[in-house]
Amino acid sequence: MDESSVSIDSMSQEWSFQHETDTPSAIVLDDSLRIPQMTLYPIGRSNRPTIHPTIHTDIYFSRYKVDESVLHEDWQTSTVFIDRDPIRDKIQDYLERLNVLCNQALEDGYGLSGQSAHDFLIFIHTEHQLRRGNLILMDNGNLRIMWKDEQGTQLGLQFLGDRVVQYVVFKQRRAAKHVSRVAGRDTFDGLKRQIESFELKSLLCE
Amino acid sequence: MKGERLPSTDTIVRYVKPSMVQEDGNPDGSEFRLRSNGSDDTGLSVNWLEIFGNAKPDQLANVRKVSRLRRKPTGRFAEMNVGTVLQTIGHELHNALIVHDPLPATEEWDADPSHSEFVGLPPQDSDQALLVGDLIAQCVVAMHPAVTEGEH
Repeated sequence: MDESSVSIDSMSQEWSFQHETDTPSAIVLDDSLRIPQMTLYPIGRSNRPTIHPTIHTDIYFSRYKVDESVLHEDWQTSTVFIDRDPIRDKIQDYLERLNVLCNQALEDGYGLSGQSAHDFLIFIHTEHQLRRGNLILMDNGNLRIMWKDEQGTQLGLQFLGDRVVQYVVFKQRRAAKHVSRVAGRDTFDGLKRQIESFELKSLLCE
Repeated sequence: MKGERLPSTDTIVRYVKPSMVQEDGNPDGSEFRLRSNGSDDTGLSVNWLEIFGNAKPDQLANVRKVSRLRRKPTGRFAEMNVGTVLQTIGHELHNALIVHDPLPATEEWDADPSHSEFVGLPPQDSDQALLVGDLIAQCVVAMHPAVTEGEH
């Protein structure tokens, strides 16, 4: 893990999303349901992770600027660094898309599954090197993300909860005219093996 | 006629909900799977365009007129060729058909002569259902506004 990275230490608590009644366009994370701990590695101190339970969830999951008065000097440096992190921008981008999807789904009479959202957020944190995918909200409440290229290769992932994904892979093999197709369910770790066996890294990685 | 297969040269549209339209404007394959309740539990509802003549604007206007769905301004009608889609999913399914299923008028609704059903699709939440849905999505040749200006 490099010095700029942020990791989630504990995911034991459940997250959920709720819509504020007075501002229906906003997704808020209930305070009581936030990630209990995230570890930040300040610049130059990668071997001494410091834990701060509140600030980092704000950095990641709110659109509000972090209150720097509560930060130690070292943290300010780190915060500025993270604030410019493209990973954070990508996650912010996903959250904005999620906001749009939730509003559209509400108008159609369904909502976002907390378990699916939980898994999706863990996934984009742990696999933050992945290219930005096409995110949609299915009418069963689950999130689905899709990557595809011009050659006909694509990967779709439906987040089912309990860290299980339903995947659909179309892989255009160079040596063959036909497209290999497979669908199934697997854990996050199992999915990594599927990605490797189908040689999907060029599709997924920037 | 009810139950008759649609000609392979003809076209169909399927309404795609806003949250299931991908960011690049294409439909997500999950739209093309059966549902556990509602009208899509045994077959996927589609509209047959040629029943309204050959001019695309008239076809779509008529579909909007007779549609019984709660269409949203950012929803879309995904257009596909009948033969192409059946041939494409034929690699995975051998019993899929698109059959005419006109809806009679009711107190609330006008008759919908274009209503048809995509039948023989895999069970709703199966892995194969999503795979076939993604194949169907690849057959979409155009996305049309589901609501026109002034309609709502």
